[in-house]
Amino acid sequence: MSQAFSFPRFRRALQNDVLRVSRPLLFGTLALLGVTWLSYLLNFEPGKVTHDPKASQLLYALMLGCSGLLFSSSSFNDMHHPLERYHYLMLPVSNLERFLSRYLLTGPLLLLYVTVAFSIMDWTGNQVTALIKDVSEPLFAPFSEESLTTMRIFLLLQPVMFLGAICFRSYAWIKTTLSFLLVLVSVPAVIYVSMRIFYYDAFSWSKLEAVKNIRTGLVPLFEAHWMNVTVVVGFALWILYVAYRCLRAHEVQE
Amino acid sequence: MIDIQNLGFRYSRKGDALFSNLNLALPAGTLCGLLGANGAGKSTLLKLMSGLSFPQRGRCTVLGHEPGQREPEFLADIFLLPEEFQLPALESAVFVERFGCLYPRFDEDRFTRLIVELQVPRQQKLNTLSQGQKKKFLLAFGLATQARLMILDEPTNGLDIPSKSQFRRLLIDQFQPERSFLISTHQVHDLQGLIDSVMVLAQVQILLHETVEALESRLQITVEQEAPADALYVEKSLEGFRVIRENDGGQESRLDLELMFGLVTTGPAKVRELFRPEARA
Repeated sequence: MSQAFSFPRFRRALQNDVLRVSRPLLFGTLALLGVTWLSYLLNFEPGKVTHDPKASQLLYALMLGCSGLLFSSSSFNDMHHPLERYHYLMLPVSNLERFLSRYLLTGPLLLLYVTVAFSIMDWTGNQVTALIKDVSEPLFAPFSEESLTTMRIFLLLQPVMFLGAICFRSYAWIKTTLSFLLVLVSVPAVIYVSMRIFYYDAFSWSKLEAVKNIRTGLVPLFEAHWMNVTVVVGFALWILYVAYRCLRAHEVQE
Repeated sequence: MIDIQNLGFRYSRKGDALFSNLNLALPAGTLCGLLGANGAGKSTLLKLMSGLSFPQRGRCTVLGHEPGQREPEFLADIFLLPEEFQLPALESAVFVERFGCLYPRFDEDRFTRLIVELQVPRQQKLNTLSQGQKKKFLLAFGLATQARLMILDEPTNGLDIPSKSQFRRLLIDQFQPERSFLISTHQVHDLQGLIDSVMVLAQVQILLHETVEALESRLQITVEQEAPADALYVEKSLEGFRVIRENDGGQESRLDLELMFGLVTTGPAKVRELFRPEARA
């Protein structure tokens, strides 16, 4: 009887994945530390009012968004590489263990790492600017509403990048971004056209927006906050499920 | 150990079938050589056995598992040494520490002994080794996993002459009755005297699968000055003509794999006739 999930094996797979990316992650962190210090030194001026959004919040969002999503999109490079593929595929690790290990690493664990690393970068950046220019901004607050929103957006977009990393053999980041943008544009367009077809009497030819109030049966459902949260979480989970099925289709014969 | 029935495989829907109705049974405790011309499908067959490609038709069972399911227990019991591969930028000890523990029967002492014997530099990063040294490293790792089935795809490509004889010695040393080796190559000389059975893959099927003993008892190989009319296969050489005849006298001669491969690929009907069960009886 095959065991699709064994904790010791999963732990080993995760450990190996962490060790595999540790060096590039370390170099990336050092580069971002330099970027943080430089941007603080260039932007913080004595007597200036604190920016809104604060430099730290903006930088945190950029780091998590760009480097985090880029990192996610390269999480299956070894699977797609024609010569590294053998090593990846022949290791006695199950499909589920591999999937969970890489998802955790590029999703929640990366989020935690970037947040902790950025808090340190921000603190040291402030110390450096205080030392050189005698100016500093309020420290980065990882639990502020803005930070939590950034984290939520990352956790929502990361599965999309993760799916792209599995599906696209090369240029996963660009291809996934373009595909996602295409979906992002085409889905509302299809909904809009459908609305114009089904509620034709609520629209006029000369205007894009509805001239009458449209009230569909679905709208009241989304007035509740929990419903919106459920839809967003459900979307992320669905994307993860699709990613898992894609990985299985790549690796396992059904 | 390996049981393949009516296997069908093609790379693209419109392309020609690489295999159609391929049948094969390989028992445990064999050192089998898989021979075939370039493009005959040797590497593909090995991929199908390892679960790296999936058959479109038929059944493939390896060590009681369906390779396509890629179960971890199956992957721990099989080791594939590919023809071309890339290793991570790690030292051999680090590689073993990270990946050895995924194989339940991994024997670190044996690995150390083999690495020393094969003279693979231990301090050097694996990605900086030469292709031959990488192969020797992976061979040592594979043998240390104690996998029941070792699949070696062109293992001697990139090995120098001393390494080739080392490779042969090592395989013989590590051979155990519960373990099988399937070696695919087009360098037949490297398998001479090493294998105990031969498989020839050509024309989308296994044309011959016999033990070396059976081949030596059924075929007689001689060198003659004139090409005889009753020969099954003749090849011109510097000494004269190398000839394969049906062995009627019962005197065994040493098998020449290259000559035998020529016979099988040029006259498969003759070989089939010679090795059909009634003819043996």
